[in-house]
Amino acid sequence: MPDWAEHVRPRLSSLRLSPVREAEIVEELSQHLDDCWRELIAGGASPDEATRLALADFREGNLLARYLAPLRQTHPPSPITPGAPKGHLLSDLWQDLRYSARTSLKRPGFSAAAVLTLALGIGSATTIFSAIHNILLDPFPYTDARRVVAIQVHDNASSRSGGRRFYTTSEFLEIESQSHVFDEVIGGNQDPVLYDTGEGVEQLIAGVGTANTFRFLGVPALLGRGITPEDGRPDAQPVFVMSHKLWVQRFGKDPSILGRIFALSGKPMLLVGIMPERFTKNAADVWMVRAMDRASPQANATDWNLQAKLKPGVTLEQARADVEVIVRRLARQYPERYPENFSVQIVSWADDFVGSFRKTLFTIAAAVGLLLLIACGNVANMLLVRATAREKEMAIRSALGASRGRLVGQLLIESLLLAVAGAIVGCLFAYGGIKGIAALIPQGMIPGEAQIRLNLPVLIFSLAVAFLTPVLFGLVPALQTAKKELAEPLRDSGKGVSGGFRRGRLRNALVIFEVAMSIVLLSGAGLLVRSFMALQQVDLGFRAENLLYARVPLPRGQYSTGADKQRFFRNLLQRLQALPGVTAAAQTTTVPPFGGIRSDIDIVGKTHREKWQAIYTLCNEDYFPAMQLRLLRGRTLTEAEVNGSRKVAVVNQSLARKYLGNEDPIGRLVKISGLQKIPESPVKEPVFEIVGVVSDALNQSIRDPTLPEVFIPYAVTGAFDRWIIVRTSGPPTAMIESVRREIWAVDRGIALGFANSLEGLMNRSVYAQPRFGMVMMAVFAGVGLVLVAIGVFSVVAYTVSRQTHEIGIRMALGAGASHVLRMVLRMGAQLLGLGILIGLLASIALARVIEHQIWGISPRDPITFAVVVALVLVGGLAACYLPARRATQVNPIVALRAE
Amino acid sequence: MTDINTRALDRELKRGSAELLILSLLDARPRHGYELGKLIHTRSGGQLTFHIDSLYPLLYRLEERGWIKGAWVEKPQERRRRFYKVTAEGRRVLAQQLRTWAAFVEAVGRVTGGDHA
Repeated sequence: MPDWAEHVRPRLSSLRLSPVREAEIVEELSQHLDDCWRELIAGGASPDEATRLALADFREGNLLARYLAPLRQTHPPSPITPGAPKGHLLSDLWQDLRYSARTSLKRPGFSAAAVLTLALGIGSATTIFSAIHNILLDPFPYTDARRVVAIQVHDNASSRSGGRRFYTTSEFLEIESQSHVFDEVIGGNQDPVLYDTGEGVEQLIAGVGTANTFRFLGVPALLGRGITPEDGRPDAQPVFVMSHKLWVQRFGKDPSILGRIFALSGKPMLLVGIMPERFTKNAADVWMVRAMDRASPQANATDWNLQAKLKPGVTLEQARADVEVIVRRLARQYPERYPENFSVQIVSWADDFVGSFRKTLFTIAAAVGLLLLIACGNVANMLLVRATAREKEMAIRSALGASRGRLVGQLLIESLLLAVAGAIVGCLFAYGGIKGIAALIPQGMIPGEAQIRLNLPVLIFSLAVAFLTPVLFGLVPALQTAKKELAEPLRDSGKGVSGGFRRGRLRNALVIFEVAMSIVLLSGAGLLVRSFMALQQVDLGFRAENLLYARVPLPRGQYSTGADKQRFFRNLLQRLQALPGVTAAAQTTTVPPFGGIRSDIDIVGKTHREKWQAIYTLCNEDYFPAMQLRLLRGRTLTEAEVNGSRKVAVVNQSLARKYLGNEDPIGRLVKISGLQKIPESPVKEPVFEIVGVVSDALNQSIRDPTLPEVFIPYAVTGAFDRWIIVRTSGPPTAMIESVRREIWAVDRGIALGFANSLEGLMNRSVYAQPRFGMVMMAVFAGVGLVLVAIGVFSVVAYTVSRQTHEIGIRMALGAGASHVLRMVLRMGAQLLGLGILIGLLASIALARVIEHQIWGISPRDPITFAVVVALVLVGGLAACYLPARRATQVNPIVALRAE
Repeated sequence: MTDINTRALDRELKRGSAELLILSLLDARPRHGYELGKLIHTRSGGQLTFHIDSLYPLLYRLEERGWIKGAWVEKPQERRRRFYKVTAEGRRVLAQQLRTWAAFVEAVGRVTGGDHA
């Protein structure tokens, strides 16, 4: 029998029939010709003749095609499913796009999960990396700010990073003149200045510095001019420049104040300029020149923060080598100012400012990196699962004439579509995230000049990752599909386990990887949470609630002796104690737990080889009740002793225990050598009789143990800044105005500086940074856990759906629902278990990274790890439970009939 | 009766009377294309012949209009065949066409009969 198709198909070729339709017509007409042929043979025709006669039914001029041409089926709507190549790139693309959009919408759960996952990854990464770029790489609006560095003298004995950043006048001048690596050097500091508002005096922060500061920074004034080197000449008129903030808040943006003379700390000064909003160097309200004079009594104070602009092309290491030589020489010249074993560090301005917060930021960045990996893993896995589920569809389409290239292209476009949607939502997340992080970053941790906003290169990077992942993981299965014997999935008919594990290994590996990453993330977050809790549970040795502290900056030249100070404070403290709501008011030179003045000490009659160190605090008799320190032995200072500046002392428990052991401290004499060396008002014979011992209160920092401490009457010297501490019965900050009024009542020329509740101060300076790190880590770890749950869910759900048949057989053979439930959960638990194990090992290996961020607990804290493992296990098994329940509801009859 | 020219039949197809033949043959029971062609040929005493290249386009057209419906039917030991049957819509059209045809034949009869009468 002839092959009729050979004769029929060419007659149809001019029509644009779909391959399916063409095949049908060929079959039907072949059947017809066949019937005809058989009849002719039966009628006695030879096969050749029969063939010729049968084919003669086709008349001249291909009437078949002509009659078929007007029919609709010869103009088929674009055959989307088979995707036969037509050679029209754009229309193919359009077709694929429409098809992809439709298939994506048909699986709203899958698409939403994939888009959300990508968006979370992009959003978090863009937020954090933008913030890091803004804070660490490019925070300053100043000219060549990236070349500006600071010099730190790091004490190698100290566990903390950083080091001394302030230098004496002579140190500054020698570094400036002898170094070869700097273009220009500036020195500066913050100094409180007093400004008379007419109502009373207020404290402003002055940024004082060398006269070349404004030239160095290169930012023009908003109004008027900046400070010029000429303003630094000894005969020049004293001038100052105002910050935008002060100009707006105090002067309502009045431009006419320019050129007016202001009395600052009693000195008439000309306002020559107002700076733009972003110019906030030293967080100052006003800027002015401070002369650098070797002859000044202040010259020996380490008062100058040195900043230098590296010559172009000079590296930090070259600069360090150059500066180290100078600093080593200075250390030989002034050994008392340098630690025994120190190193010189040259750090960028941003690093110098941000200090340890930099590590917090990097830890968060690492967390976000992990999150991004989890997100990518998740999306990859979802695409792999979907690709396997669609093998059959691909096989059919290929059988219907879709070229392999076209199939691959199709899958790629689907992935791209997800990527685009993820990118759009991710940008929205990033936008919100930037706003959120800008609000969350603790004040004072980052340079005031930094503007946290979306960073374009960062966004492009995140988007690239977002595109690469789906495309890559969309491509792998697509290529595999294309390579594979496509009929195989058809035969398999998509049932049983065989199909399910074809790409199972890659999928499982991805889930295990995700679980491991999430363990790392969560344990990091957990350690920070536990560390923060430990920090908050630290026993300060006193109650921080209801304590108001304030600095009382006494004008230079006035109140310089101990007697002057006593005159002022005796009066002020009496008035404060009389205020309603005040239970105790005291004067002090330090605010616990933030450290104090250190000195070498001796106890008369005791010999020792090593140095004995202690903190000494100049205070009045009410300091002990105000701080609520418990008296352990003897008595505290009396009013008469304080007023008479008698040489008596109260020591803390640490001092008694450390230097006197079991001996009775009462009546012993303690010598505070440091008091002899105070330049402006040294204390002769600084030997004090110990009259009492009080309980310890933290006096170095909240993270360090209590140092031995000596409390002595505050008027023995006129040196040092003085603070007041007020114990209140209500909210401390509500008392600030009353305290200010009482100060002005004693002397209208004295301001109140840095007044706050102690809790507020601790929140800002102690808790803010760890809290920020903890909150960020917790948020990202939480998101990571959700993503992992989605990942586990998608893989288990998919495997269950492929195993419906097997489950049906098992149930038909008598397996109960609980058995099936266990079977599915076991599969999930295996993935989780392996992931958890790897995650734990990785966390332990990575503990070093987070070690410097945590305090009070071990970086291998077993409780944290136990909780984290439990969390992941519960989350992961919950994600398995839904598909497991679905498996138990498989109807064995239905599952088997589907064969 | 002279042979009806096949070209003339094709014109007829276009006008639609050929549709009537198909629909009425299928109205009795589902049939495949070859059977339809053969039935028309034999019942017309060889006067009407559908060629393969006009029969199938006609079937497809009727199918597109929704008047008939084709379906592949497999029988044991045989190749599958496409059988066509009339749809409800096709039945309505058939009734309508039969009425029109009857009216036409009657009118023609009256006119020609009148001449002879």
